[in-house]
Amino acid sequence: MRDLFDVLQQIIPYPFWARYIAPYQSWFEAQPPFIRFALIVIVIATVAILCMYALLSITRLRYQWKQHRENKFRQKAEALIIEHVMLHPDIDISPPEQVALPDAVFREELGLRRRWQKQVLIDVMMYYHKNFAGKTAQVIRRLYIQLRLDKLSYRKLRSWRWNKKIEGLHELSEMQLQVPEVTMLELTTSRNRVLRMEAQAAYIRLSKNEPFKFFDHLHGRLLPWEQLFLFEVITHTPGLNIPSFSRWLHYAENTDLKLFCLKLIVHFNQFNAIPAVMKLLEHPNAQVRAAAIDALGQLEAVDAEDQLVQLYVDQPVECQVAILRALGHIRSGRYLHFLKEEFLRSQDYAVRKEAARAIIDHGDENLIESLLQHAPEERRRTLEHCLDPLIKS
Amino acid sequence: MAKKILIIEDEPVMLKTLELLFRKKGYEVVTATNGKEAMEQIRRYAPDAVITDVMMPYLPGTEIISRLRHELKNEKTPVVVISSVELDSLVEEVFALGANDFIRKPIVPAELVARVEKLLVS
Repeated sequence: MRDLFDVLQQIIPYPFWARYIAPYQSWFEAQPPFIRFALIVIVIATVAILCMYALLSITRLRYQWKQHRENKFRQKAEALIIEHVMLHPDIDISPPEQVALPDAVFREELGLRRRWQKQVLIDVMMYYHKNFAGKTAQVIRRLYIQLRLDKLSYRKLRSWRWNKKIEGLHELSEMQLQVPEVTMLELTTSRNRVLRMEAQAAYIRLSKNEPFKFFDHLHGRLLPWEQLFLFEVITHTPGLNIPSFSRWLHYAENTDLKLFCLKLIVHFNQFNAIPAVMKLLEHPNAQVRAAAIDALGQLEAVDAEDQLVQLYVDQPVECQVAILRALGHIRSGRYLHFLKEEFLRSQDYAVRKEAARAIIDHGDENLIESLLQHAPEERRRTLEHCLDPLIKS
Repeated sequence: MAKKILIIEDEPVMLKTLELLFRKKGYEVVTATNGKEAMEQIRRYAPDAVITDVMMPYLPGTEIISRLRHELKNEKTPVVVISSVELDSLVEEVFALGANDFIRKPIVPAELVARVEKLLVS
């Protein structure tokens, strides 16, 4: 214990030691060992808490100071954009490429020597580019390039931190700047799900010739959430070069990609993909078969009707339901008898319900009336349930 | 005398930008950052045109249009709605409530000014 006091004596300044600690040394040494141990723990804990509070306060103050500094800079940047871009006297009369850029004013007023200054300005420009279109957006884009802010965004793509890479991708895709395809392709297969999604979205937005080339390299899963996100990007990107998605039905080994392509084929009404979709009816995975059947139904592929009915018997319920739904969409009337038989014969409620729906979709009032009068009680109730316009499912 | 325009927008940057844009064109501009404040401004200043966002605190843009048209019985003041919501049902709703125009974000500033000017003239 004497060693501990020796060490403390060397660390603590002498006046403090002599006045506050030395008088207690003999008292401390007279205490039983467990009391001494408890006292040491209390002292260490108290000092640690005080240090933590000090550190916390310093961090918070530093954060507040940074926020204050950035807010001031942001306001200045916004004022400059309003004055020199939004209210530019030439912006309404000249083509955007001929509007004189106020880059010198921005450099002079904002400095733009520090990284944080450039980042705040990028954020402000992104906001304006997102919310304003037309010439204003084009001038902001030109200014972003002129001020060499794109360098910072490109540098972020080389960062080892995934969130920085996403930031860079966001900025470059918002400003519609080219990113080397090799870099983007690499990111589209990243192990990090968020980065992968962002990279795929950026690839679609930025690649001029083949925005879906990354589909060829997609190996992992494409979860429903990711499909929804990509679907949003694909359907909301103006001027996108839409390919025939049937090619991935042939070549891709990724089941999720096949399912996603089927949705895209339906959305873009790609009728020329019907033969490729029909080939998927022999796919070993029932989920893929069901999705292909659904797609054929939504594309109203009359040519597929015979094959669908032929397949029906050997399919699991999931696919049978999809076939009945597809027949309801196609509505050729050739298999109305088959639908009636299934409605009356099947022991599975899902099958009966879908058959009833398909019959209703055909709009044959006589058949519906006859079933309502002569079908067994349970069948009749199923049909009435499907006829109710307030019940959606 | 300059015509008075009320701009209702909860995004301060957007509000400031639109305010200065219309000021530059020679309009007198009154602003509000939420629905409640907007109703007070309408009562106090009786603006010649209203530009409003849809999603806002306290009262949404749709409610402002409804109150303007039904509570205050004001059928004349043109209302232009700006929104980033892409639902067709929203467009139908705002027109049914009595809005005169609907502009989707991102906005083309010159287009917004032109549409407001056209409504003010007609």
